[in-house]
Amino acid sequence: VIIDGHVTLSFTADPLAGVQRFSVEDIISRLNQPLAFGDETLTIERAVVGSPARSTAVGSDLEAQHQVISEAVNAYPDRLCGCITLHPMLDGQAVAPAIKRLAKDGFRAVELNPTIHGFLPHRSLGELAPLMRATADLGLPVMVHTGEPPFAFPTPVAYLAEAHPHQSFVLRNLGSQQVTYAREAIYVAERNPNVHLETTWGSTPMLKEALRVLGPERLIFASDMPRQDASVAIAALSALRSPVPLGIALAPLALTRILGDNLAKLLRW
Amino acid sequence: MIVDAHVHIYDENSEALHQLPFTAEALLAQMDGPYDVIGEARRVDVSVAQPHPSDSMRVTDIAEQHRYVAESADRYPDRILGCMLFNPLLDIAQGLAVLKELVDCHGFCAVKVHPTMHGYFLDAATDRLAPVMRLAAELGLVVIVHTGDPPFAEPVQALALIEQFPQTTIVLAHLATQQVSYSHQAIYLARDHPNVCLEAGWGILPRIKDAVKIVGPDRVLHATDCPVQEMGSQLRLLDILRREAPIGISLADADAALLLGGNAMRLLGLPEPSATAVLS
Repeated sequence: VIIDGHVTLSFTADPLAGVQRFSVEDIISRLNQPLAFGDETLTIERAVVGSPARSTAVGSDLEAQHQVISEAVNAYPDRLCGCITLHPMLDGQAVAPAIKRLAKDGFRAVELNPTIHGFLPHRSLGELAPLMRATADLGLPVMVHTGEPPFAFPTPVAYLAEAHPHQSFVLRNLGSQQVTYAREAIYVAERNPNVHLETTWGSTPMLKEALRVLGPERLIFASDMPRQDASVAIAALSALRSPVPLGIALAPLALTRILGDNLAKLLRW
Repeated sequence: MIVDAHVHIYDENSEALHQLPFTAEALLAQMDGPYDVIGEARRVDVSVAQPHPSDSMRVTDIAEQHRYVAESADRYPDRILGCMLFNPLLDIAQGLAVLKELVDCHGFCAVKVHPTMHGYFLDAATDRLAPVMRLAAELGLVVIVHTGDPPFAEPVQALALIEQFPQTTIVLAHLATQQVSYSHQAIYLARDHPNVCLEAGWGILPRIKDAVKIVGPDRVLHATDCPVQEMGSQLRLLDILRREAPIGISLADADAALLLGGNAMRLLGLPEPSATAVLS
């Protein structure tokens, strides 16, 4: 199975936040287009779909905030699962029932976005603890946006991963946006077996380094569409199949894990 | 006169996560030093105070966001001046009305935008910021722009505002330095745009020297970001400029006085003091 771990659905553009319109039809259409993978082609079968983090910055009605994602997931239950974006200022106990209802409604992961919500995870452990308990009870992995100062560094997430060792975490974007903390992300994952890394935004040398240090079991294919395109993320992985020095002659079984098996296990999907 | 053009004060009601309150009284204690500046024991005479940025994110009552700073400016009018933190993602009309009231009733002298904490691309927000830029021009306020973080707060992202409002002084905060530094970019931008000034706070010594040499001593401001930074260490950096090269740049005392407060007084429209406060 091939799963894209990181797609953002937005029915309205928000230029202030760099968000472009990307509807559920756009997503399904893109997923259906075959992607070149060396001499072969492949198709992304499933995707984890979330909301722009800005839409969850104010207010605490999780179900209203995620209504659009709910509808998308219900329209394409075999192709899409939802990701709940949580703000650390939410009352964890109060929103736990809503998280449970969303989890029954096709949401299989949660996201934290330190950049847009403006918090440092390691200084918000108390606020996040009830939210982490609510999501751990449901077995939802926690996707954390990383890749830029002043909030979205990998190491603050390490404290959260250490505080919740039985919960799975995914550092999004391989710690890379306009600056890169890819090495930091790899180090955090090396020290914390419950931490996985997304491949999108990662450069070829850093993807190689992540594979060298962690092996293929903890890398998660993700595109970050529509900011990036799935074809780019796939091409970056395809390049790893080349012999050294361009690639690392990555074996087909390892690729299968990265492209979907690892995430399928985390999502129980 | 020493003016710190960038500090934050907030009480126990602040939404800032895990920040101990930094009250007006705590600020005054910091300001009183004394600090060794240009060979004398000096205090910081005036600070330009803003709320904690966290308080302008989820609190939608904009007057309430600024209640504590306004009360503090009223309580200590000779020492604390207010600066509004304008979030263009909130109600623009309410924000403009509050800004006018803060200026008219509480003596606020500046307005700041914070693309990082408020989460928007500055260069995409020109239309939403235009009304506050126009009001700032009408009221004679400087506009402080937070810089120093990707993806929202690189200096060049302020270019549209700088060019569309050439009569308004735009202060690039922190010498474009936070966890990464865009100081070179900020200095280059300021060199070519006379309405741009630079805060020295957060800057490293080599870049502060560059700023003073390239942009000139009349467009660099002492601005610490206290309590994130401590006042004495930032004053020390400016005082070192008076030393000979290679440590300093032999900055004249008169030019040092501009950095320390003269520029802020001119830009903020502060009256000349009757005498410089010397504590020792």
